[in-house]
Amino acid sequence: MLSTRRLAAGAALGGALVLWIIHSPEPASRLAARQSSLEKKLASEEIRIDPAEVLELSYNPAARLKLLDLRDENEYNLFHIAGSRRVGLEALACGDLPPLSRDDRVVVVSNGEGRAAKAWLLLSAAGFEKVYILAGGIHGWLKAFAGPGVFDEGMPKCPFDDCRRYRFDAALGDRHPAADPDPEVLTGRTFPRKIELKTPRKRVSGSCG
Amino acid sequence: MKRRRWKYLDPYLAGVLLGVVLFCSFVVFGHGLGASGGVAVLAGMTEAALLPEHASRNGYLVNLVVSQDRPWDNWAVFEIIGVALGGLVSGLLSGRLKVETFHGPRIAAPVRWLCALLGGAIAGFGVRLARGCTSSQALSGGAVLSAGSWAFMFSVFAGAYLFAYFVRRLWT
Amino acid sequence: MLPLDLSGLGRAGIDLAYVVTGFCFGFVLEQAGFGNARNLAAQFYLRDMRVLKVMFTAIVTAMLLLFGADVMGLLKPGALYINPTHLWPGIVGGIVFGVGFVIGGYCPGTSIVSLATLKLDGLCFVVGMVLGMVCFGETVSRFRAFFETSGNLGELTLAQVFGVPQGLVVVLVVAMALGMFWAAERIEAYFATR
Repeated sequence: MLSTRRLAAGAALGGALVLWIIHSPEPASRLAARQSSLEKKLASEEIRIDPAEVLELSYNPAARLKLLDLRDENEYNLFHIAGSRRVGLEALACGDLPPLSRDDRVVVVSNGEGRAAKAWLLLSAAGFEKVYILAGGIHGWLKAFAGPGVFDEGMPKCPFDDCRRYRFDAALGDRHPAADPDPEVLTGRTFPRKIELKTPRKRVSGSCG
Repeated sequence: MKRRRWKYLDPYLAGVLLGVVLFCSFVVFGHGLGASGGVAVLAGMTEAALLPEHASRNGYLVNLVVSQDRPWDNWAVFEIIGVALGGLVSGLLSGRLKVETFHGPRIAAPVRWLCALLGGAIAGFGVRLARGCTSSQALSGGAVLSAGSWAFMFSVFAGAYLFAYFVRRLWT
Repeated sequence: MLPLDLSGLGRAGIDLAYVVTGFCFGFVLEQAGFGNARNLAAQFYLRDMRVLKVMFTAIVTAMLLLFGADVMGLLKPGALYINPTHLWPGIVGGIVFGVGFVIGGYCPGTSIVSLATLKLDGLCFVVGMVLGMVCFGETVSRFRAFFETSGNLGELTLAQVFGVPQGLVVVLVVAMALGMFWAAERIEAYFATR
């Protein structure tokens, strides 16, 4: 019996099936579409933030800072910044994003900036607009906050500047003092600030308040 | 008996129309519909007007309203102005614009007013806790498949169905 | 590309656009009979399944249109606002709201429509809502941790939760909605004869 309702119901279900079969473009192809404008931004300084600024912002809940560490698991276990979360590059490329809100400020971290740059591209292509790269990566962080002997200039650099150039005596993860430096180290330091926090005037947040 | 010029729309048709409006909102503004947000801003403005010093020390309210020079300057407020106008015109055109109180057969109007007030207060509290209402969470969040919105939607139905038995005298 | 770039409209233009959107919203709500608390409450006594039908038809319609636009590449990636999931405040708030809904007979949007059509109970509900919201603003500092962090999963879609493609979720939601409509018709028919 062909009534409007049955037709509509059939069309809805059929339409949904068709859409599922065609499916949305994967993040990698979305990426190709926005490549050139993103690459320009990637090469600029505005998205690279100084380790000192990251430390400063980590004390400010309004900054909604989220640190994503793109390194391998063994490197993460060796040392990682307190509060950072490990995420795999392959997972990001498949659209498997960690729980993040568009209001969060994401800082991607790798040894140098190699993997972080790739992660930056993937996240930006997925529509996140507040993504930053930790300037110098873990190397930069250790140079800023760890004592001598940890970062080793002598260890070889790699293509994409992303292999490990530091040594630790034990795998301390985030228990190493440099993982969570005392904010006092910030006093007297000057560094360029890339992120400006301000109380929003008219927040088009899209939800009811 | 009142003579109604228009009958109520078929619910499925109304749903389709509402879905189209919702879709248009997304493609025009990037977000869905909302109602409770506008009421929340009004609530904040009311409190700020009546108790200005107290309100300025309330962190929650400050973020909602007090920090802005023009507190009504929030999309949610303009949207509910539209909702009111739309309801008014629709009521006018369909002959349903009339001062009256809808209530169940076993209670009188004043009881209904009190229940509406109480229900409104409870609903207002719940809506702020859930960060949204049927329009913003259930409809809009539901359409984009937000997990929290679907959880909210089922919770609303669960809460209402489970409690309905206790207030059946109000409605049946 | 969608969403549209509204910067050309200016502040007043954008505000007007919101009023127009709200107008369409309110108009349809009133036309559906949702300015009348009895129609709304009847849902919870299984007499009149109107609320369920309208809500889920709207969700499915918008979902299909949005997903269709996405598949056709018309949507800027990540441009749609996805309500962040705060699981426990959402569930508790939802239950509380449901209780208020069945006592008061309205939800925020429908109460405004009711008030606009001069219903006194709609007026009472709106006033009640303002009071309830003020009460929330005053007490939230006591349970701030719960409100802000409990179940804070960020932007999370059902597809991510179940680890399945979005297209499959869309199909399943449509199927579920159709099943609910079929059941709703049966329930209404059953009660109509009693």
